[in-house]
Amino acid sequence: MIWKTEHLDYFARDCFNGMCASRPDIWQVGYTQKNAAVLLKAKPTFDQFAVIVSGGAGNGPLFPGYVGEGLADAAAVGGPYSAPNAYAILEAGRMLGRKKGVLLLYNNFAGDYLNNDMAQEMLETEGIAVESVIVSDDVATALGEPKENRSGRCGIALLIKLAGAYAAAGMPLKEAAQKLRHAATRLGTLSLHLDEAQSMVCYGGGISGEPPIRTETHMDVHKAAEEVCRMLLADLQPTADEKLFLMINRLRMTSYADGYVMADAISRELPLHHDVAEVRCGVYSNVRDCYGYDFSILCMDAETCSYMSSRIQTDSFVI
Amino acid sequence: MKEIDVISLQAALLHTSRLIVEKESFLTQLDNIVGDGDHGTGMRDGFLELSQTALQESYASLYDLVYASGVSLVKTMGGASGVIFGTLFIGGRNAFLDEAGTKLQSAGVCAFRSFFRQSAESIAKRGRAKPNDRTMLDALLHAVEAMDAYTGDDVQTLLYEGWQGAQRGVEATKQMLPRMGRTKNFRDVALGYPDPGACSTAFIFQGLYEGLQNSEENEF
Repeated sequence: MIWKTEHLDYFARDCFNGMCASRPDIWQVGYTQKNAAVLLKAKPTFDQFAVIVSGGAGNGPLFPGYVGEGLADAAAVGGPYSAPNAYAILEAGRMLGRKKGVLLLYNNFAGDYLNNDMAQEMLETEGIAVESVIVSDDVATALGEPKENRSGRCGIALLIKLAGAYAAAGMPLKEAAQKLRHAATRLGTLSLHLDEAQSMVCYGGGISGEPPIRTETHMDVHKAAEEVCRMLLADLQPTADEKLFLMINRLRMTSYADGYVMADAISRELPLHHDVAEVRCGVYSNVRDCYGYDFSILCMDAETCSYMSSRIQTDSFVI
Repeated sequence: MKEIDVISLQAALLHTSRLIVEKESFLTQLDNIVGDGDHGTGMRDGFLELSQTALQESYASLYDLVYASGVSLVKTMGGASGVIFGTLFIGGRNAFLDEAGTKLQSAGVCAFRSFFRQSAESIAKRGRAKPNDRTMLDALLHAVEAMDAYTGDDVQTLLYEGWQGAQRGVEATKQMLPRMGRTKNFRDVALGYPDPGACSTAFIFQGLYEGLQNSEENEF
């Protein structure tokens, strides 16, 4: 988000209107108000539970870009970089969840938690079944604390895909939520950015400029890939019956080619340590103004692998 | 006043909204010191909207009135404080149901005391806050305690006791170190100043108390 207009309070609405003007085949606007809006699929489905994702507005494709076939049914977003209010989430749930219920899927930030939790209570009061899955995949946060205290990063993209697959398969809401909560514990994301001036590779820097948890002085893509694998696998400890889904997210200044150069390095390195089932590389969450990547790994049992093996094409990325 | 009906509570909420809007600059100045400066405008936006829309409707029960008021705050304030102050009205709404689950058109001391106690419990549960975390809950819990100690049957006096209790909570927050929300990034400067959310909570009790007084004067 770069524009400074008098309509900043309606940033999400304007963004959604533009999305629908460009791709009316994918999207429609569901609800707008000051500092909140809901985006829906062009052709909503009601015979499966609805996946509703939410978070702040300001960049993308998280979260509105994940609304579409095989992924989320709706995205509720707030003002730039702030959570949507509970009422917007409530509206999305009312529109989609009356038949098979609602799955609220969101990252672990205070504003997101409070507003989703309240929306859940209000939807349940209205007789709509709701399950919540909270994602805390950032392995560089809340060090030494329980994993559920960590922040959420772009790893949620993989759980949106898994949730969409469960819904499409007709899985009941409760069962899907249980499986997703387990999957959320098997998900980790580590960010890497480059400090060119000092020839430094920085691991675990935060979205809002929080300092990295580790730095190395070199500019070697293979050494960097090796360290990313080491740090993520040390955290996730994949078991023998799990295979890995690796998602490489290019940060804003990283070129298309640099994305795939890293994809080459890390997709050579990772199988040396553990079985890899899937690799994706693209722009999944365009949040940080630096050279670098977010690496998300989901450890999948055989059943999860079967739900995650397809390639889903959206307007701007393949997951 | 032993029984408060929908019209009286609605008038009191309208008075409360005006008071909060008046206090915007006080809250903003305070939050500029101990927080990120948006508490005053957030409260103003929420209570302005409350007075201009939800409180212009008519309601069949106290339950419907507090629920609509809470939703109005959630919808316009956004962020964490929208949920917290929305829950102050929504979280205790079951106090305005009778044993058969019928929504009450008027209520006395017991229901109002229970309303605020349940609100405080909902806020504590949802916000994962504890006493002495330096939040609005510190004012609300002092208010609940003060109302518990009141043995009479006059709702207006009950709310007066709540207001006085809330103010004691506000005073207490001056000596507390912040642990919740963004205020925790301002630990060093917060000491000596009260928590803005706690101040707002005390203003709400003040507004309700004064608002009921006004409606009583209008009646006679």
